[in-house]
Amino acid sequence: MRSADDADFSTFVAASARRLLRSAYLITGSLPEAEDLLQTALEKAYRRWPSIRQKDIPEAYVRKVLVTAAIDAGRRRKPASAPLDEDILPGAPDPAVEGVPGRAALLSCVRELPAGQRAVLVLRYFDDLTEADTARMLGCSVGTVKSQHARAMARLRELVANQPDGSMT
Amino acid sequence: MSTGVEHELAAAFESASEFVHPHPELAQRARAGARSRRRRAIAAAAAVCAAVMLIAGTTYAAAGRHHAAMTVQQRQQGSRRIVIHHAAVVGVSGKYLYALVGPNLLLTAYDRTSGKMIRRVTLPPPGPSRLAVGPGGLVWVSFDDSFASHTEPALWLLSPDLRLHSALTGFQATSVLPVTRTSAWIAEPYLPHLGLLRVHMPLPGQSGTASAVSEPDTSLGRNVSLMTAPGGWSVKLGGRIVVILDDSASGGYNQLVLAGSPNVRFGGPQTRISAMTTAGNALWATTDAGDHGEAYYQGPLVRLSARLRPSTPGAVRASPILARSEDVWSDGHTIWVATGARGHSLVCFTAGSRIGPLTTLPVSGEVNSLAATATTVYVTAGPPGAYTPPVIVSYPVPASCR
Repeated sequence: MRSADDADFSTFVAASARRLLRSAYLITGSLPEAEDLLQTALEKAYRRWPSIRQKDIPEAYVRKVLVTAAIDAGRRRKPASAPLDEDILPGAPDPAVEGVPGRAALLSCVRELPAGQRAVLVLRYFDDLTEADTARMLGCSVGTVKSQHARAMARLRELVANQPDGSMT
Repeated sequence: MSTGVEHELAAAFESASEFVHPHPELAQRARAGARSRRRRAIAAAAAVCAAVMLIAGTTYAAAGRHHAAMTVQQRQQGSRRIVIHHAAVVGVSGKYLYALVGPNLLLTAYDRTSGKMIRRVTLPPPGPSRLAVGPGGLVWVSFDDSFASHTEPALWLLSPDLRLHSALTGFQATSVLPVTRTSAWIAEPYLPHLGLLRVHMPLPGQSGTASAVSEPDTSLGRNVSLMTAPGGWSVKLGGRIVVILDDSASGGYNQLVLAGSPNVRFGGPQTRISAMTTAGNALWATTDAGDHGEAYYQGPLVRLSARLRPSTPGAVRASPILARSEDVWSDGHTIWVATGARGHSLVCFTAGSRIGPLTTLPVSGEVNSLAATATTVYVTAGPPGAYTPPVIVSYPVPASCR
């Protein structure tokens, strides 16, 4: 890799890492695990940087590797064993979201979803991807994204309704 | 669910992850990690210039557990070993052992019998991406283009004693699969429609023109890039060539593909290929199940047919040691496997008409590279995850693995 590519890689990381890390954190629920997954994904991207850069797909490539790994990680453990950091995402109202009815409850319910469904929601509502782009990220069909999304939302509805202060409509 | 709820979800995601910031040196860490993996892949973690070869006595004291299907043999027998400090083994052929030595990755040939250094060659930085010993003992070395010196990628063909070489520049061969003394298959990783190239080189030191031509009917599919795997990126299997590739379109799952039949594949999200080798008409591959933490690069060893269909013997499937395979090599019918199983860093077995017992060698640490003949195996190993230079140690091939 040439030094120009090296500088280009640094620029890419500086511009994209935070968004990617936030996505990984929301899917895995663990910041250390998200950091580890992101570094691994970036290592992989760096090894193939000339090709990835040539195709103009660096962020999509890293996000795809990251999301896949995050889902894999989520599937390997029970949700209770790796909750979202309690200090950041408590069941009780969080100062950051206080005053927004149902938001804290909504987040605590998201972590109860299977990793794949959580990934669909994060890609759709945090990364703002279309259904087609979400399907490309997950390596599945648009129909699968739609069905996963529908199941996730239905499950969320159930979980929120069962919350003591469930207020989602 | 209303659009309002979806809006709430988006807002909740934003606020829940607002505090998250990446490490300020993340890019540097990723570069270091990638280079470390690459160094491991090319067995080039040498750090001190001096190479010392000595003969010393040693005793096999392999720790092993017995298993119902594959017996782990305890070995207690006198043997000799050769130790080369601060270097990494990269190949062995005939009378020569090849190692990369020192911070500048000097390619060094040793006489295997006398231990004498024959010749040391300076390679363009950052060192070779692949090295293969082909027919006639000729040494093929490919180089990436360089960070530091802006040198072009190149392919060299060296005489066994490393005194002469011929070169082809401008091709970034991810690796090399020698076919004859002067020809080899290579793959240029960034061609839009990936297939294999047949490279012809003049014999080292002789005049002539090197050439590379696309080989028809060797398509590997589209939107793929080649992986440099520790066990080799391509192998010959049943008259065909199998390549490890990283299908970017599928999220970076390393897969095996039969050149010329890109739809014949093995591997996927739950079975990522990390290394492969062949013995007879079968292919052996280490897989990575995508796990994390300590077992990130570990997974079951599998055997595949010439059509890449699983044919793993029950004895191999049942082995808890081989379930934690990390890397695989072969010489003839002897299979060598680096594993993450405690006390079993390196094991071997024969894979002829029947599968032989599993034997553990007294190697401590993580195996980084290996080259074997029918009678001797050369290994570099070091503490897991450490960047300390490994030491090359040679062991006689256990009788149970010959």
